[in-house]
Amino acid sequence: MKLVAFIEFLRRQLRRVVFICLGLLAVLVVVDAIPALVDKEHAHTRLEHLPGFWAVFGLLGCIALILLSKAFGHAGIMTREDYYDE
Amino acid sequence: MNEFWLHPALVLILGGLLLPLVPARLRKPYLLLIPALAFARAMLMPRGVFGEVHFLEWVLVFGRVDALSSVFGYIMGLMCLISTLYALHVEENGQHIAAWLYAGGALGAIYAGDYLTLFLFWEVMALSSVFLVWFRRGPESLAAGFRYLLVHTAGGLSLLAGIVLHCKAGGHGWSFDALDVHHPTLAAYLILGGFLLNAAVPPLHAWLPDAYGEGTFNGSVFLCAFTTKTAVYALCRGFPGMEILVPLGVIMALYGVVYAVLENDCRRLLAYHIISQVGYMVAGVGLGTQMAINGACAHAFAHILYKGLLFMGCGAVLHMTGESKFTELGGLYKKMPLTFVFTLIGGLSISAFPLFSGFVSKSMIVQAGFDQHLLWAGFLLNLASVGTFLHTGLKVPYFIWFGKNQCKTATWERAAEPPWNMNAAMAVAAVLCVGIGCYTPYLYQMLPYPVDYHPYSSYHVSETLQLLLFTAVGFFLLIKKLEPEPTISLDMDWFYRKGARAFYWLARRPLQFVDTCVGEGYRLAGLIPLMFSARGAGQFDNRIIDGFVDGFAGAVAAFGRRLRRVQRGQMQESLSLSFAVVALLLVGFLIIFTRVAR
Amino acid sequence: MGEIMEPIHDSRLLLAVLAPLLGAGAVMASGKRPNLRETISFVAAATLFGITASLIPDIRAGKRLFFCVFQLLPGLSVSLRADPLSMIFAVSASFLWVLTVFYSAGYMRGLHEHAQTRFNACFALALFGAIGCAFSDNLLTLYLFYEIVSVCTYPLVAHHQDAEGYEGGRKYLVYLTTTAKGLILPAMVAIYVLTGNLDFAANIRTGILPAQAAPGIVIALYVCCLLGFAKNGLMPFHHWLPGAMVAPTPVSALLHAVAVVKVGVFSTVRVMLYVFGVDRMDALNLGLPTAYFVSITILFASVIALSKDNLKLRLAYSTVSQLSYIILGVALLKPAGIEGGLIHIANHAFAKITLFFCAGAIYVATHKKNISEMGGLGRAMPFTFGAFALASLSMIGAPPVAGFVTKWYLLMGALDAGSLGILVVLLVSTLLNAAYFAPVVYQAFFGRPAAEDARHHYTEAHPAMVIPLTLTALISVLIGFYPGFFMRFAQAVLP
Repeated sequence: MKLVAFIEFLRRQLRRVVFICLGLLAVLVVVDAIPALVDKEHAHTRLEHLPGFWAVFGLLGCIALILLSKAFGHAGIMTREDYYDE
Repeated sequence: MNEFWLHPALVLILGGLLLPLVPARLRKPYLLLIPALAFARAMLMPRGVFGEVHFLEWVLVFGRVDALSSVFGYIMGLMCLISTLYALHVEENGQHIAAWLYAGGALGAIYAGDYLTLFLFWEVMALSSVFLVWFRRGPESLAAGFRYLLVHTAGGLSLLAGIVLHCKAGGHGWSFDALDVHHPTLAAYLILGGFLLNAAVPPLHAWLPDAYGEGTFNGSVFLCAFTTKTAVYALCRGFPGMEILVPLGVIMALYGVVYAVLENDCRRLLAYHIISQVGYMVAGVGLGTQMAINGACAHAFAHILYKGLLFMGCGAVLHMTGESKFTELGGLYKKMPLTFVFTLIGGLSISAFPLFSGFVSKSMIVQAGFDQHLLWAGFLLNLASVGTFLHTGLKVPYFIWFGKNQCKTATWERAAEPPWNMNAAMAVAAVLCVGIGCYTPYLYQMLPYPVDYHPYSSYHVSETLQLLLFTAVGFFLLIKKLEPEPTISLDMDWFYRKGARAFYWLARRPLQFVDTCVGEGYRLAGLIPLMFSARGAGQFDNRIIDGFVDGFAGAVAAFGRRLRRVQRGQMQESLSLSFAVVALLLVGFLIIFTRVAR
Repeated sequence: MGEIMEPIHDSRLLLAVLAPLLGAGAVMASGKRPNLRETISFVAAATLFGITASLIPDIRAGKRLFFCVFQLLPGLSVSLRADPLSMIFAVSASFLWVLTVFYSAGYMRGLHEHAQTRFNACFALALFGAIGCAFSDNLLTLYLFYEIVSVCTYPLVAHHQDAEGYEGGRKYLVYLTTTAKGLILPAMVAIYVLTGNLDFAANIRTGILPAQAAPGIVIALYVCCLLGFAKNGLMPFHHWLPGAMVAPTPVSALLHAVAVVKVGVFSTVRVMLYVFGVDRMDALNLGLPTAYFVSITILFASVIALSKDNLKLRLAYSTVSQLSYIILGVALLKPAGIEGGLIHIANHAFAKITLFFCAGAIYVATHKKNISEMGGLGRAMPFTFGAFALASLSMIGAPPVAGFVTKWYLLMGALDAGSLGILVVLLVSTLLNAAYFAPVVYQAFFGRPAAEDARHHYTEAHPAMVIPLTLTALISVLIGFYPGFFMRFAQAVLP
């Protein structure tokens, strides 16, 4: 159960783990802005040349998906589990 | 070609039929041997056209082996082996036989060179896979399987209608090749309909979550691999470049993602996910360029592996705990950590994380979309990727293995790591997922067209990492909103489930009533007049004829009494004798008369 | 199949017809000795099959055989002929009778039924009528044997001699004899008046009616014949069939696969092709309207089958539906359609007899009649339900079982005739077939057993019943892989 021990270790250090992750994300966006490291010549649209475009796309897309899907669901698609039973 | 050509499907089908005869000690090795043989055969077969059989006035081609069919045949053979390893401990022979017949049917369809053979194996697949649902024997399984069977029969009938019309129109012949996608005929649309139903394209998709969520824990691993990918193969073969497939594919990709957000059952969520991923493949077929078709094939290859891995992971949870709903699970990392790791690998693969298989396959299709300047398709498919990572990479692992522990005590007690064979199967699939991602030539040299794509460009890596990791940020921000709710979602199956109920009511009440009325009509029209006339005839008989006969009989009796006084015994004999003689004379006279009269 | 050879006189036809008749007499004489009785039945059946099989090479070679039993008046005789169409029916009927002899021995003894002598004798007499129909050379002979079948099967239907039995028997007799005497007889007389004889034509094109006969009269005669042969199960005169389900199951198997219904359908097809002829039907545009008319029966009967819980009733309505496929195929008047319809005579016979054999085996082993009670029986009776599943596949028309070949040819015929509507009817009815057969299979293998079943330990019925049904199921699969045997006869019918 080394695996479980490892997971428990990470959970105890949760704040530090989150901090490190956020740091990595910031590095990622910064790296994206440096043409020498990230070569954007194959990008098809001008928007993609903006640094961090895909980061924003991902974040906003995720939020939009969750909110719209839940709205769609609560509009009547989601129903009780025994709906089809006679 | 008259010499016997060994079809890999034949190995599986015969192997399955012989399984009940195998002694118990040899059973497990046998279970591994047969799919291994089939896979080896599929891997080592030379290219060409084989297995031509004459049936009535047609020539059936069972073995059309080229690059396109080989890549699908390879992965299906491999997946059959992995899935059988996963299910090695299942005692019930019927489940293995059904699974092998199903896989054999898929292989048969892949290598079919003509429409009739394709249809034959299409039906074999539908009829054998339904058993994988029924074997679950749950309260819902019988009905879910029945719906699955009827929907697939209807799809098969659409295919049959298209084939018949197509063959009737003549000219194109009989062999299964690309149809004219720019001027599709009614026959082409009907065939397309049959393919789209098996590929689970909305609105013909509702059978998929319905059935795959209800399958056995091992059956669903088989189910997720074969039906939809055979349909993708068929689309690649028959309809490359059909434009309507691009918007259909994109809609599919997003549709699956939206329903997956709402889903409470982890295996149904994965099933909706299949719809989403197959959407990529359908869009790829619609784009029609070499890179797009390559992408569709590569994606199918990788998808079979990682979807299988995901179903194996959730199947393991189902098998060990008996639950598959998020509202009944949670906090299982303490009990089943290895399963968690495998499922996570599957989730990262499906999301196209760098170093995993999805990264080198899915993006080919997106790239092909951008290359064709279909920017909307490219961006929307990337949005679907966001959704993919959201559910399969984040929601599924989090709410089963972490999150709030909503397990009942009994569930918690039962939970443990699955048996060695299940872990081994998952390990193999996981290694392959990572291996394909890291070493691209393994997959790329199997693809039908030469590959001019380099996934590990710095831009692509950066783009993907940003997309996915910031999705994770969004997930953790809105995690409260994603808490599972114990509900079901209504889908297109609402129409035919309610419709079927209405239809059965119609059959039972009004129609049966009409039929009974017609049936009883014979009394009115036939029997009563008959009885009436019979009674009339009886009266006639009683009064008149009987009266006559009685009178006559009385006279004869009186005469006989007088005669008896004259002679005993011999009178009866001589009387009967003379009567007999007279009768014979009469008959003989009649015969002669009719002959003379002619 | 170019030249029409001169018919050759062959007394084997008379022998074939007499074999079951003599068998019936011998059975009556054997009275109370059951083993002797079954042996006589078997010998009669085997003899019949042997004689019929001996005719196959001659018919394959293109010869046409005939035999005149006796002549009544000019143009009216009782005579027999053997041609490819009669062989399809005769071979399947005689072969299945051999198997049914074993099956009914197992069934009747298993249930300790009474009056088995009368039962066996009437069975043989019914086959006598059926073979006579198959080998009929003219309409009079056909009618004669048709009526013999009706009369001889009545005691079989009313066998149980209880209120239900008499009710079923009464309905049976009223339907069949009324339609025959009310519709066929007048039509027959009219045809005799028009043509001077009742002999069937030598091929399917010309028919025997004179060219100058008024179209109205011809159409009226056609309708009389179509509806008059009520054994073909066309609605609205189909109700005798579900009513006859009160009979013991070997009778139902015989009725629904071998003798009675095939006599009806065979007679209808014979009259359509050899009295009216393809050309005449084409000229009067009788083909497609007939096809649409029988489509109503196909669909309606399938829908009603969905609503029946009693297994034999469900199978009865399925039969009503499937018989109309045969008429539909022939009514399309195209080669593919006619071939499809004719081989369905054989395909349906083997599959349907399997299904009824299974129903009977289930009843003997468990006394259950309703599908809803059969939950979980598949584990106890795997061969029976396995055979049922195989035969259902043939009925549904799934490849590679026999029914698929039928379906393919019918679809091609429908397209040849230019009718997409018939195509749709065929496809929808396939879906309905799947809908009413699948529940039996899944209930049996995966359903929950009823509570009281735990007390009983059900096993397969006696081998005398299980072996025949396994054989017929396997043959259904075999003639799906190798349809050539019956197809050659069907193709030989075409000019």
